[in-house]
Amino acid sequence: MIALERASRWYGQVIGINDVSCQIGPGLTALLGPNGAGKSTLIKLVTGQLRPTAGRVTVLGQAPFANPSVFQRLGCCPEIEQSYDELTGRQFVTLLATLAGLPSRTLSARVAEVIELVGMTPHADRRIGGYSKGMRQRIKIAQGIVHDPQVLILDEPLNGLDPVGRREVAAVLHRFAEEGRTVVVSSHILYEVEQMTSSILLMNRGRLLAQGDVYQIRSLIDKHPHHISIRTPQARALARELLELPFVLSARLDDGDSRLELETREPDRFYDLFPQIVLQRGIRVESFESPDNNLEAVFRYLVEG
Amino acid sequence: MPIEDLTYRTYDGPLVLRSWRWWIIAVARLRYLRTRWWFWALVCCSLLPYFVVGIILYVQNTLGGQAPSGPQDLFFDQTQGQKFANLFRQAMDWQGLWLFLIAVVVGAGSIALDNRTNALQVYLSKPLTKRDYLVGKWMGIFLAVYGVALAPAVVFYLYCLLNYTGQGFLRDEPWLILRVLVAAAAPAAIHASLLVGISAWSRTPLLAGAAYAGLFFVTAIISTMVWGIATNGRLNRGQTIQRLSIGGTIGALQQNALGVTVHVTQVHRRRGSVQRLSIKPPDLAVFLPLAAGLCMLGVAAARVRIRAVEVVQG
Repeated sequence: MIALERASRWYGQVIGINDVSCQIGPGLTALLGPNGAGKSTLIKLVTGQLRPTAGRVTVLGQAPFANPSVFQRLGCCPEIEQSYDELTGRQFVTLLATLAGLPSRTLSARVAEVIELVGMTPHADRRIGGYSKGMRQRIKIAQGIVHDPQVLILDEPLNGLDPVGRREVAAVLHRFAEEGRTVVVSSHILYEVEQMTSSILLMNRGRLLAQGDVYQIRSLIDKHPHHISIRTPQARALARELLELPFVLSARLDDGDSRLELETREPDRFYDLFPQIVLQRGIRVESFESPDNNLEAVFRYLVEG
Repeated sequence: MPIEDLTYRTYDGPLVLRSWRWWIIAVARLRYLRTRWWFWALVCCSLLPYFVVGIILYVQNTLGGQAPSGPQDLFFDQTQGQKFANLFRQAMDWQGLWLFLIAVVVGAGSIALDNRTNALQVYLSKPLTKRDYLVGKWMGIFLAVYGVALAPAVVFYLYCLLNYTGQGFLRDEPWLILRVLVAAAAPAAIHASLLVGISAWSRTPLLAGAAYAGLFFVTAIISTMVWGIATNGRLNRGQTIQRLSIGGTIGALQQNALGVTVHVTQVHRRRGSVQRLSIKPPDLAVFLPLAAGLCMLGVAAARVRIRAVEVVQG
């Protein structure tokens, strides 16, 4: 649905994005990267608010720049803070639904429907100026999906939301993506996105570092040792067993010998063998986690090498 | 209701790509103004000149037998063919300051607020072009100011039509309603154009309003000072110089649209003499291009500035 072919965008001497090629299909995809990575530029290229300096950007088979027929099938929730404060939530969504092309006969019913979907019905007739940040995010999402777009782009949609709000917004986006639509969510906070999707686009300094499933990407990074943390009352015995495996590089005991920190070069083989070892030796494991399986680690490896 | 309990419902209705998309932007601004008390307070103030002119017209008519006809009349110029047009010119002249204030409160924040909040991204992610957005913003200001300028003028016209037809209201000035329609559009077009330009370059309504007010008054002061020095204060000379300001250009256009020659009395205190002067409509060949230039300048400034994104200069 979204395709970038060697797309670049410069602002004078400053690079927004540089030679980015990727395809984003249906489902929920996270666009990740630190501030200044080029996420917003990519979003603006995809939403047709910028023209690529070089290369090609297509959305639903068409170039999106200044193309109203693409905009009609595209939903966008940019990262804006205070705006339209004098309007009520319902007026705001109605205004943008009208701009999106909803005819008057279906307008109010559809507006009420999406307001209900984002959980804002009790607050719909209050001024946006009195909304919390989370309410503003929800009403922004409502305007983004009111015209039932094929592609929905959200810039930092979880900003300012409390954990419950995040979960609810993530649920809305999941439901939307499950309908076969393309949802792209940008964020610089990795753990937020990790809970929403494992499909990521990772950007840094205007370049696309990686695209795909976060776990697949992680498995490709085999030059870095994979860290595993195991809490067990028999840490010393477990360490002795595990160090006999050829792909376990090191073991360290922490917290008064109750936690074992391991490094391995082949995490997949390790995960295959680990249950057998602890079952055969009768070792009780209280917790097992790998900090390197999360996005933070992937990002750290890719960006910092 | 917790939103997890809801399922996404697709929209099966049609989507219409409207050709008048700018109208939605303009109407949104007008709807917003409709609910603002300060807007209506200014509108009420802007109606006062027509009340005053109406009262004076009534008094003049009541005392009509005692006053001579022609430019020397007691209250108003009674010159045949422009008697009522001059009433409208007078009311519009007095209304000018209120229209300026209304334009500032309506227009200063129209784009500046969107700049500050990056709301352009929301608008321009819809099937809306930059031109639609700009025209919508311009029309939002224009229609508000034009409506305020025109509504009392039309009411006053109807009042004259009902009460003064027998005194040659239609016979002597048959095209007056068209002249009024054009004259009322002059302040609306100039204010709207300049304000969208200034607002597009600002990030706060206050700054945009202050900048426009400064421009409005400074040009008026400078042109009046230059005129005073150049003509030694003679009212019937240097009209072009005197009106080389935003307010002056609006007044010049209105006087031309209404086709009125203004008759004034100038008192020379040193010489102890009183002189009747006629001030013809300022040269349209100067003021029409000037007004068009101001309008184009404002719109072009806005067009250059309006972007959906912040552009980092390298």
